[in-house]
Amino acid sequence: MLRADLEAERDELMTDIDGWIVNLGHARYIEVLDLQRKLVDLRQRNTVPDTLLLVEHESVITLGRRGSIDNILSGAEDLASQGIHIQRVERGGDVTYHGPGQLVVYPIVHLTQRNLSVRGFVDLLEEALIKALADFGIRAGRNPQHRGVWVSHRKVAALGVAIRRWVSFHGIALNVSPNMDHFCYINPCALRSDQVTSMSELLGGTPGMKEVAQRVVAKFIELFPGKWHEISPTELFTEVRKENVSARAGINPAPTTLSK
Amino acid sequence: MAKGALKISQDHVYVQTSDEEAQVGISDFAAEALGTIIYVELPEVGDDVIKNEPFATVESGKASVELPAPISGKVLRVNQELEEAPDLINQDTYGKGWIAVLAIKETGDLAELMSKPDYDMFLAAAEEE
Repeated sequence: MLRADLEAERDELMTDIDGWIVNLGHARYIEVLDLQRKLVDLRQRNTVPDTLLLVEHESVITLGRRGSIDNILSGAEDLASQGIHIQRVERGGDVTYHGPGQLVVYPIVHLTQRNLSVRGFVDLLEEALIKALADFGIRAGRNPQHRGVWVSHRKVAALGVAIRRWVSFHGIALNVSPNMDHFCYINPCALRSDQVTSMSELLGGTPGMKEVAQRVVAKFIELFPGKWHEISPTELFTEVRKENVSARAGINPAPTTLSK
Repeated sequence: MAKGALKISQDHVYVQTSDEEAQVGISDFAAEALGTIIYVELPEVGDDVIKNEPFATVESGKASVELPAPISGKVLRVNQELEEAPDLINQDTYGKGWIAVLAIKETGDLAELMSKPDYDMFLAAAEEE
């Protein structure tokens, strides 16, 4: 079969996969972390579809599994006094800053159901952001030494993904217009903080968060074909609560098979 | 020690038994799919691991992948060499790239795993879908 035929066949197969897109707006890091962990569990049980969460966090510094506290340049108390907390998490990578003006995207995707390797999945995530940035006239790309999305030698989006039983969580954080001074608190992924940039720095004007989110979602859907539809945070919370209750009650015994 | 057959879980974690012990690691397919491994979080000696619950984590690029235990058991030894050279998994996963050795708790757990030829067929079937 021709490569194009194979790809068309694959796309056809994938379009049967349902997906939810949920824009959480502003939400606390720890609450969204808890939501992600629940969704991963439910996704493994096949009781929820692939889900793309979009969110803007309050200021927080997160440390990945390899994260070294040495890469946080300010003392913890100093940060706490400014309302910035430190959170250790299970994603890959070192230290990351999240804050207002940053679009954070968490794809809860079942890799095996999409026939994706971990590397293939991360590549697609980066590609979605590169394509979305191109819509704003920003020429972004990959850096052979580091993950994430880069504009020449400066990082515009940080990436850190975790996989639990072949379901992804955590994800990618795009600097739209965050307070760049906050990056000076950390050594982002052991890079110097002057190697970080944002869309507003690159464009010399601040693009709307909503517009950026729309472009990112559009590119994500292109690269992860399926029947995606947007649901409200309330609808998502209702589903998660319902499924969690039925899972605990044993109404919905988990079919945790890897293959379809 | 009598070396048993190589068995692999659907989560791409292998078990190589010898007597009451089981060496565990990730399959060659998983090592290839993950790319170069840059970090391994090992379990602790003495830990009780539970079948299907994460017992170790491997990280490549910027994805960290939790490994569900293929069987239940107590951790007897861990491969400390992976702390310095995690890519031993990419080079020789069934040999120098082992992750831990477990004391087998339920021999019945082993029966639920696939033989290497069955695992290869499982992979081929997944490929076709």
